[in-house]
Amino acid sequence: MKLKVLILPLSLVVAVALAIFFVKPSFSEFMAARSELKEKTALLENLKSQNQKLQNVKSKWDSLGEEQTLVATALPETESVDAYISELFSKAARSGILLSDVKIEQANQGAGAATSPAYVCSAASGEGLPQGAPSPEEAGSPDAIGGGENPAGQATVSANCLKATGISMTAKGTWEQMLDFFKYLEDMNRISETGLLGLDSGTESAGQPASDLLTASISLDIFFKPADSKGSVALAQELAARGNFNQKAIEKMKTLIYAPYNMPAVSPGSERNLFK
Amino acid sequence: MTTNINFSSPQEAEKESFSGKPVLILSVGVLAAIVASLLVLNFLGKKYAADNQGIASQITLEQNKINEEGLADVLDFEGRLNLLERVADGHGYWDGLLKKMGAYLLPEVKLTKFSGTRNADGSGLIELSGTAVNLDALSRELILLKSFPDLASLEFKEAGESAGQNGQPGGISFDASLKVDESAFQK
Repeated sequence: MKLKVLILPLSLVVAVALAIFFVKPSFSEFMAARSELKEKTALLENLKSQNQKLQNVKSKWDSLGEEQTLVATALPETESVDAYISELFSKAARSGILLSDVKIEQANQGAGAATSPAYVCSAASGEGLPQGAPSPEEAGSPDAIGGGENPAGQATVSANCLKATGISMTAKGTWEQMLDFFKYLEDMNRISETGLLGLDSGTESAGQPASDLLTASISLDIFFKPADSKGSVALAQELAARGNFNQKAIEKMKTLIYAPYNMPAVSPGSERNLFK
Repeated sequence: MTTNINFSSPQEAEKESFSGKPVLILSVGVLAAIVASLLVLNFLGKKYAADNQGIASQITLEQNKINEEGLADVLDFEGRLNLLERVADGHGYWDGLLKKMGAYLLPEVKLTKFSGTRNADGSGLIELSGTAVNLDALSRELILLKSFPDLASLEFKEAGESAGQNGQPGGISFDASLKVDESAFQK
C-alpha cells in the first residue's frame, strides 16, 4: 500500500529530473539548430539573389568595351612601365620639353613613399593592405556574408589598395612648355600622381641674366594592381546592391583622361610666368 | 453484532481512489511523455543539424560562384573602378596651382625657385625663392600671398639684398614657404 502511494511522486521526480538533465539541453540544442537553419536559409536566399544580380551585371560588363580598355590602361595589372615611359617621352616631345634622368623606383617605393595616399598599399605591412588599414587579424570582423568560412575575405582587403611605382625625371623647357607638359602629365592614359615638383630658373651670373629655360625636377607615382583571381565578398555585395558598375568612377576617368587639350594661357592678367 | 463506522471524510475517500492502477497509468504516462519529447527533440535536432550541413555546403557553392572566372573579372573591374575613383578624387593639378599662384605674384616680384610637395592627405607644402624689386614690393607681395585662397599657413623665412647685374641693384631676395590645402591642387 505504501509503495502504491509513492509511485506518483517518484514518477514525477524522475520526470522532472529527466526534463532538467536531458529534455532541456536537447531543447536548447534544437532551438539553436532551428535558429541556425533559419539564418542560413535566409543567407542562402540572399546569396542566390546576389549571384543572380551579379550575372546581370556581368552581361553589362561584356558590353563595356571602351571602358574596359580605359580602366586596363589607367590601372594595369602589371608594373610594366614601358608604355608609360614611351607616352611620357612622346608628350615631352610634343610640349618641346627635353626630358632626362628618367629613373624608375621599386614598386611601392613611389615618389613619396612616406607620403603616399591611403589608397596605395603599404610596403611595410605586406601586400594588399592599404596604408593605415587594420590587418585582417586586427580587424577581427568576418565578412558580412559567410563569416570566416570564405577565403575571399582576404581578397576584400587586397582589393582596397593599389601598388605604386615611382618615376623621377628632369625636364627642361620654357614656362609655357612646362605648363603644357604638366597638363599632359595630368591626363596620361595611365593614371599618375605627381608628388614632388621643383622648378628652377637658374642663377644670374657674371652679368648674364638667367635664361628663359626652366629646369623641373619631377617625381611621380604610377599605379598598378595585380588581378584578383578571387572575388571580394564585400565588393560582390556592393555591386549586387547597386546593380551596376561605379558609373561615377567611369565618368571621372573619362573626364580625367579624355580632358580636352587647352593651350597654356599665359595672360598678363593672372596666369603669368612666375619666373619673369 | 458489530457495526462498522466509516470515519473518513468523502475527500479522503476520493484520495484513496487516486491510487492503484490509475496512478500507475498516470505515472507511466508522464514518463512516457517526457521520453517521447526527448526522442522528438533529438530527432528534430539531428534533422536540423543535417539540414544545416546541407545548406552550409550550398552556401559555400554560392559563395564560390564569385570566384568563377567571369564574375571574378567583373568584381576585379569594379574594384579597379573604385580605386581609380579615389585616385581621381585626389588628383593633383600642378599646372592649375601654378596658374592660380600667378594671380598672387606682383609684377615686381619674380621667382627663382619653386618647390612643391604633396602630402598623403592631398595638402601641400610650397617653398618659394624669389626676388622683389624693393622692400615695399616684397611687403605687398607677402600681404598678397596671405590672401591666396587655399593657403593654410604662410611662413616668411628670410630676405636679403641680392647682387644685381652690371652694378645695378639686384633687388631683395626672399624665401617663403606656404602650406596649402588640398583644394589648391584641384581644378
